[in-house]
This record gives sequence, C-alpha cells and structure tokens, in this order.
Amino acid sequence: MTEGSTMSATGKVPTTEGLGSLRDTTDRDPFAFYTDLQDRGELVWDEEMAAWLAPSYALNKEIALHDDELWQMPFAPGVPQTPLSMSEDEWMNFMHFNNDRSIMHVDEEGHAVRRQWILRGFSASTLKRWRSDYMLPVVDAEVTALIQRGSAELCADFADRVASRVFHQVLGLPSDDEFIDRLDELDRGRFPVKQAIADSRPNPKLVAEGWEATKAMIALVEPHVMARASGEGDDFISMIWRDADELYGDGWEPRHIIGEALNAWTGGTGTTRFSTANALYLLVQEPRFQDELRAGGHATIRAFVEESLRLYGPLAYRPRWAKRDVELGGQLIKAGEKVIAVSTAAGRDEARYGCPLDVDLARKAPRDHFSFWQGPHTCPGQGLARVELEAILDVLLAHTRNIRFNPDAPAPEFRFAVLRRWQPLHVVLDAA
Amino acid sequence: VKVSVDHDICAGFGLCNDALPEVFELDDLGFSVPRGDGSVPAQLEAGAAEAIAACPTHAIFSERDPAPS
Repeated sequence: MTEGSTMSATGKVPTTEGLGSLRDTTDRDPFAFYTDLQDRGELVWDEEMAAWLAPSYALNKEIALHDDELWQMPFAPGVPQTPLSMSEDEWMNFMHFNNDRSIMHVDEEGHAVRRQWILRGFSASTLKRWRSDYMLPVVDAEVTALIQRGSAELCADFADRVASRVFHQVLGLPSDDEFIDRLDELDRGRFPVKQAIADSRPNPKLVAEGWEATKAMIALVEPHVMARASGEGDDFISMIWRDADELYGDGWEPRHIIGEALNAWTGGTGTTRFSTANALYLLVQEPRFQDELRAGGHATIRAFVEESLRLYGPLAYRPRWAKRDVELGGQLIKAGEKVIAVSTAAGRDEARYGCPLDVDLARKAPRDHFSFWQGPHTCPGQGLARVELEAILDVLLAHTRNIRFNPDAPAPEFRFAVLRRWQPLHVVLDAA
Repeated sequence: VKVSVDHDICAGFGLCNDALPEVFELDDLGFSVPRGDGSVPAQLEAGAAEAIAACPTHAIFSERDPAPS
C-alpha cells in the first residue's frame, strides 16, 4: 500500500493520509488542502471525519441534483446521528424552534411545497420593493457612518450590522441594536449543542442550556410575530400569516409561525453576514477591482459578487448520508455512510473553471457554483442575498474613492470551520 | 417561439441566463428578462425548452404555454 490510499470492498481508494483531515482546516487557510484533495481524487476517504470527501465540481453537482432521492440531510427527518444523545424528535424540534411543520422538518414532498412558497415570496417584484424600502436606507446609513469614521473593522462595524438590520426588517422583526444583540446573544447559547453534532455522549446540562436559549428566543420574538397576525404587512412573517393554511394545513398554531420566523432568521443572518464580509475582503484584497466596478456599474458588480461567492462561499462544506447503497465517482457508498461535499473546493475545480483562482468578471455561467448549493435543496433566499450584496457594493463604491487594509491592524484570516469568513477586516476608507 | 418571464414568480436564480445567454439577459437588479421581444431562434428552441423546464420557480413561459393572466 502507498501513502494516501487504502483498500475497500471496491479496491484501492484515495485517503487523506499525509494531508491531515478536513477537521484540521478549522481556523486555517484550507485552500492548499483543497488542492491536494483534488489531486488525490474525486472522492477521498477522511478517517478522522469518518467520511468521504467530495472536492470536485462534478461530484458536488451530482450530489446536489440527487439530494432528495439519494442523500439524507443533517437536519431533516431520518437523521443518522444527533448530538449529545438527543432523540431525533428532540433534535429536530431544537433545530427548528419547536416547529414540527417547518420546511426542514417534513418529508421531501412537503419540503418542495414549502420551498416553492418561499421562492414565490422572494420574487423579483418583492425583492425590488424590499431593496428600495429596506436595503438601500440601511446601507446608505451604515456607509455614511463608516465614511465619517474613516477607518473600521468591516465585519463587526458594517457587515454584521447591515445584514441584521436588513434581514430583521425583511422578516418583520425589530431592527434596533438592543433587539438584534439580544437575539444574537441567545443564539450563541444554542451553538454548543449544534457544535456537538458528532458527539453522541449524553450531556443533559448542555442540552438543557441549549433549550433554555431556544425558549428565550421564541419568547423574545413571539410578541412581534403575534403583532403581525393581520397578515397585512410587507414582510416575511406577515406572508406566513397570510398563507398559513396553505403552508401548514389544518390545525396549525402560532408556534409554527414563530418557529419558521426563527428558522429563517438562523438561515439568513449568519450566511449573509459572512458572504458580505467575504465580498468586502475580495474588494480590498484586489483593489484594482474598486475602480473597475465603479466604471462598470451593476453588471460588473453582479459578476464580482458571483466570483466572491464562488471563491469564498460562506458554507465551506455540506455533510450527507447515503439513503441506500449508491455509486458515486466510481466508488460504492454504502447506505448510512457519510459523504461531505466540499463546496468551496468544488468552486475552485480547474476541471470546470478556467483559471479558477482568478476573479473573472466575464466568466460564463457565473452563477454555476455551490455557494447556495444546487438542486432541490438550493438556498431559497439566494435572490435576496444577491440583491443585498449588490446593493451594498453599489452604495459603498459610490461613496468611496479607496478602501485599503489598515497596515497597523491585524491582517484578516479565513476563520471558523463550516460557515467561514475573512476576519477581521480592518480598513481605512477615503470618501469619494 | 417567444418566451416571457413573470417577475411575480421569478426568484432570481439566473439559471436561464447561465444556460442560454443568447435568449435571457439579466436586468439591472439581476433578474432574468428575455432579450429583445423574446423571440427564440429556431436553433435555440430546444435549449429554451430546457431552460423553461429547469427554472426552479417555473417563472418562464413560452407562447405555446403562456403565463396565466
């Protein structure tokens, strides 16, 4: 046997031996590891993760397009493992804020119906209205504040503030600092449970603390959800009230709407904060694009946003479990085995993208990446995210002449494990 | 064949523009619109049919399958 391979029922297969594990990329630059992984093969066994890693464009696409049919999601009914000995019911209710009719808490058919409803809600007509009503006023105010300061840390001082303020308004929740900070703080109390997803040992104290934070979040948003029960508002929570019969069927209760609002909050807040930061990183890291985007207008900004998503999509990888024996990349994956689609690696696969590490504003099929995943579980909020990212760059570039890293402050690092971003982003800004 | 995109349904995935930029372009905010009057050259009709079928929100309509009024 040579290093980097092992025997399986179907013959010799590549492994991560000698490369380390995907787990080791936490808080470290993962890109060299991704390249090494792609050199090893389309499907590489990672002993420490007890999973097959799929770093290629082709396999990410194949997994995504057959998500419902072949692959088990980590937060959908039928999960093969739960953290801390939680029962499946408890884990699902924990993840979905006690909403057992949530979009992610139902079978594939129910998921498809509810997902289609969200997509109808986030239509072009609605997003254009929300851009004017919610996004531009927030972005304008935050950019003005940034420029007055002259220097800032763009993650905490800008990306996090803009993403939260906009998304709270879209949802129909208060968007003042106190409410945003309180919801964030409570959510951090849930994190240790989610982080323990691979730990099956019981830990009643951690589970109890996670539930306490979850219940406090539910209590915090409840009055604001109930205040929208007329269904007359131009926001996501009002939309749910309007269509609750269609969404949840007979016997639905307000708790289903509260849970859906928090589920949407969870799905949309962190990812947008992170994708905003990563786009801003690229803009400062490659300063020549600042003038190019100013000159090129919307279409150029749009292309740049897609390249930032392709290169630094906020969700680095996605775990899946085979629902049955399946052949993937020439390898037999047995029912119950885990495959991890390494989406950010797939976005840099030179077999698919010419000069994959370059920012190419003329790239063909610019949205064909995995930042929002693809197939039946592709992110339903991607239109919202795109309009917001483009609005942020539009306004920021219109009001600045130059944005550069502050040489006296710590340099950015590509932080965290699954949801990843460049942080900190200490910059100096010159007004236009 | 002529195509149209209903912006009360389109959610801005842009897959049609990725697949068939000769027929679909993106407006200022990144939502798909047919080029010109939406006429599809005969040699691109098969591609247009695929784009219509692949639209995640079923927002693209052809004159043979018009949008509901």
